[in-house]
Amino acid sequence: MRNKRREAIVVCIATLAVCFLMLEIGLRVKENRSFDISEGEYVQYGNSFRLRKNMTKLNRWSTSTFTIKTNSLGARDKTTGDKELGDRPYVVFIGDSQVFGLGVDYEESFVGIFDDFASEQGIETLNLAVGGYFLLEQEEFFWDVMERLHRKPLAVFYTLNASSMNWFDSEHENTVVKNGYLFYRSNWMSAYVKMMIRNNLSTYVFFRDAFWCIYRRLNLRGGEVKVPRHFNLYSKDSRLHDQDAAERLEAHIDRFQSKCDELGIRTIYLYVPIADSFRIKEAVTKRGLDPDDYDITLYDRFIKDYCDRHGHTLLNPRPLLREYYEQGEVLDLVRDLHYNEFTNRVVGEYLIEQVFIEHGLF
Amino acid sequence: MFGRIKEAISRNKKLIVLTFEVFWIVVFLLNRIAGDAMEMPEFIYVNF
Repeated sequence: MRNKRREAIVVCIATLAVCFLMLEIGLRVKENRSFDISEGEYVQYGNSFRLRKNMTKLNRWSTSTFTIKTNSLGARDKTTGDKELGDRPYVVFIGDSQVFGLGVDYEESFVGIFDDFASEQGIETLNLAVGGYFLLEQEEFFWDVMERLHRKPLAVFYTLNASSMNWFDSEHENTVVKNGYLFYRSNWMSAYVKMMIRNNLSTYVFFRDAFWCIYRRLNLRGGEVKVPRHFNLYSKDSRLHDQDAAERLEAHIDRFQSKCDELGIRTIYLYVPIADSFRIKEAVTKRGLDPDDYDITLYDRFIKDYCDRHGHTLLNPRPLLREYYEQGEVLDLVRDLHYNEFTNRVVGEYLIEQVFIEHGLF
Repeated sequence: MFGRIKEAISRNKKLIVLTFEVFWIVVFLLNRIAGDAMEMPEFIYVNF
């Protein structure tokens, strides 16, 4: 009797193992995933991080597959190796992961598209954006590179979004890089193990997502309404509604602008709206919240007002992206908020048109 | 060895089929639930 029960348990486990293996293979084929135990793209830099120099890294995410290449400055580029600027004029982009072009290849990113066109006009492009960087770190990296390069750029694209403006005075203080990946210092070990499982086991991701989904649904029915964290950027509680914080942000931008003015670097302000800012009102309404509590263009208006008062050039593709959104176009990577290839192309072409034709800046 | 495995499989055929069916029904239901309720995306770039 005991032997029979043991045999039944063993048979059951073996059958489940075969089922899991079948599911794993099926999911991998569907998502076109392979094992990923390669080194990540970051190196430790004080309490913060930088990109590894001269690196080629293929990322196979469930949302997209893309390659990151960095040059000898530790900046994203078409190819690895020294950035050959020669004596040609060049422009610089600073920003976070949106400007970095996370989720797409360099050539497909809006900076890459701009770069392609600008190089035909004899202008080089340097993309100093790094995913996850706060505004302070973006600026610090820019000034570091400026010290290393002996020639100043024609212009810097000072790229802002709701996130970078909200966290304008923040810096990474608790970040640790392990095997090229970013973690919080306090729980990096468990996060590292989870990441390896997540990167290499599709069945884990399948069951995790499904159970999270059920958990969230139950929470919604229980009356607890949860909205994604970044929605708060646009809510009534946003820091920008606080006069003191708004003045400090303006003073911060002023300091950057003054430094550029001293060095004769033209500043072009570029606001890149976060892709889902177009559907936040709809999403909060679905959750039974008041859409009027969310001000989507708060940051756009702030920077427009600033640029208008100081006579700076501001580029903002929001109206164009809104048109596409209203036509039903998907602007992000579906499960990831970064711009997809389509949106990158739209923004890249918008930049070319605005910079070279509309404003005739170069 | 293989003979013993073969025998165990034929003795537990019903259990194997039942386990197999239950597993794929659960997978099917989870896939429908998760697929129906796509959550709002968030930025993915760090392991925080």
